[in-house]
Amino acid sequence: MSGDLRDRFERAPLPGAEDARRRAWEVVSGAAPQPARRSRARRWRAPAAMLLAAAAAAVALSPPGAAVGDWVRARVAAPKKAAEPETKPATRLPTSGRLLVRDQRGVAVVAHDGARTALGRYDGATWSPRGLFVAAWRGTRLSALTPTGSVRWRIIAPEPIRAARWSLEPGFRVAYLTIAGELRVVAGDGTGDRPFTRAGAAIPAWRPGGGHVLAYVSPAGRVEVRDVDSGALIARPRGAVARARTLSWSPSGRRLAVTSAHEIRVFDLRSGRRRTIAPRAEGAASATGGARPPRARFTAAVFSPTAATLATVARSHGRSTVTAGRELFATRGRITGATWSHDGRWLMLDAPDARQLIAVRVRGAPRVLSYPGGRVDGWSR
Amino acid sequence: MRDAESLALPLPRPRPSRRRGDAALLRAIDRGDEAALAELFNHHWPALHRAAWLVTHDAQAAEDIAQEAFLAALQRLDSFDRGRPFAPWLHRIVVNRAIDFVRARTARREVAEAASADPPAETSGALGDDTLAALATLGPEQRAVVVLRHLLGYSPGQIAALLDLPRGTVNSRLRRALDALAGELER
Repeated sequence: MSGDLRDRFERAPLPGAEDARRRAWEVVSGAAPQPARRSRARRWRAPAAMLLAAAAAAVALSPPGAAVGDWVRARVAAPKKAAEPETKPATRLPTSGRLLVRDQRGVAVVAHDGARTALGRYDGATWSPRGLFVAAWRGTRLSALTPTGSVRWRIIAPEPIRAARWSLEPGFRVAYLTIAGELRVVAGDGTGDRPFTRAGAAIPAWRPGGGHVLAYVSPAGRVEVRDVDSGALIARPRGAVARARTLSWSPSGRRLAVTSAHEIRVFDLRSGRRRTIAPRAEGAASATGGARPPRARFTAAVFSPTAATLATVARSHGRSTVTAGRELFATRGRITGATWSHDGRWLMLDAPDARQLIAVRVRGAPRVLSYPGGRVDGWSR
Repeated sequence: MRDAESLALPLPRPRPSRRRGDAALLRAIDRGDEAALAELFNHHWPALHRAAWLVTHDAQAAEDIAQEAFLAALQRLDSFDRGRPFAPWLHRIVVNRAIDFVRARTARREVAEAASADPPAETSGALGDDTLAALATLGPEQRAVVVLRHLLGYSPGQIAALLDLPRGTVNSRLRRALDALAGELER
């Protein structure tokens, strides 16, 4: 039976074997050990042609476009224009910390010196609060890994996972949302996976300031803030947000920005006030929530981790504009995401048309750096 | 004349290029040799992928597990004892991960079945052979020892070392697994 068994095992058609081999090689080839990894790091230096294309794409800063500024500092109506920065290719990250990046090869950690460590093929990933672990998901699998790729634990969700977020300090919970709209919570050690509530498609956000308080959008479009351990409702601001996509807390945990395609709502949970920000097709942003021009939409709105500054990315008339207190960057290419550095000094932008990541300095003189890459899932300490 | 003689000589038969051993490949990988990495990957991937698939019976999971195992091995090369063979180390990682995956999936199904009368979803990549379908009726630990023995060719003693099990346990698992396979095939 032995030889027969071996023969049958070897001959059994393995579904998608060649595609799997190709995909696996794409990931593995990006994960060679140290000397090879250094050679990988050189790949951060983008090919000249790509950089030229990106430089062409990084057009002069537009008139204050579709963007919005810092609501808290009342700069919304008239963001300052920045001088046109030159986009420079770079290898090293502009400030300390590590990036969690995702492209067709999978998810990888990029160190400050540009060295890349592949973690495997996942649909997305999120840092633990101190950057000691990464929660990554693919299909129904949610895995916790070290930044070197060792799997610490893994759970199987009842439905494919849309997104996950690791709670902030001390990092004892991970919330994840399935494509079927179930919001679930698992402990940071992989135990106690349980359903929490039903939720819309917006990616939930943990409130800073300790505890396990999570903001999410209900299937009816209402923003809810609950303690996931007790289930207690902390806040349910008035008004529904249609088709909300992302939520972002100010570092004090007082304000919550909820982004949908055509507006950003910033809820002040202490005062109960609410501000609606709508992009304009041209000119300064409106903070009135008035008539919205067609084709103007937000693609991202993220609070700085260190200040109540809201970075926004808006797209209008074929131009993407990034604003954080002042207009920082504009391009004809799409900007699909923005991630703050942990020190609040830089924004890393996802520029899929140029297949680049673009780092923009928020404080001080304008400075723009480019790196080859897909999109950023997080920037740890 | 000389030329004619030399022309009459048969052309040297191209010697098949011998595959470098794993130890040589690992040393080359240490030096940043991507060709060596490709050679190592091409040599081990088919068995890794197939072993993971035979244990999990899930094509997508098998791909992920094999890929993660290979990555994990690469990233732990510093701690790998270069005096030992590389393949058993790799196979140990992949088989243990595959067992863990099946256990987690089974636990999930138990929870789901308790909460709902819906049947569990079938895994992708169904096996299309009687023997392989019979393999699917075994538990993950039994599948693992069968795969290590009959696909990867390890002896029971080597399997015991790979899985940190007593040799008697491996023998009994193998015997029961083969009995069960024979029983399934006779049905």
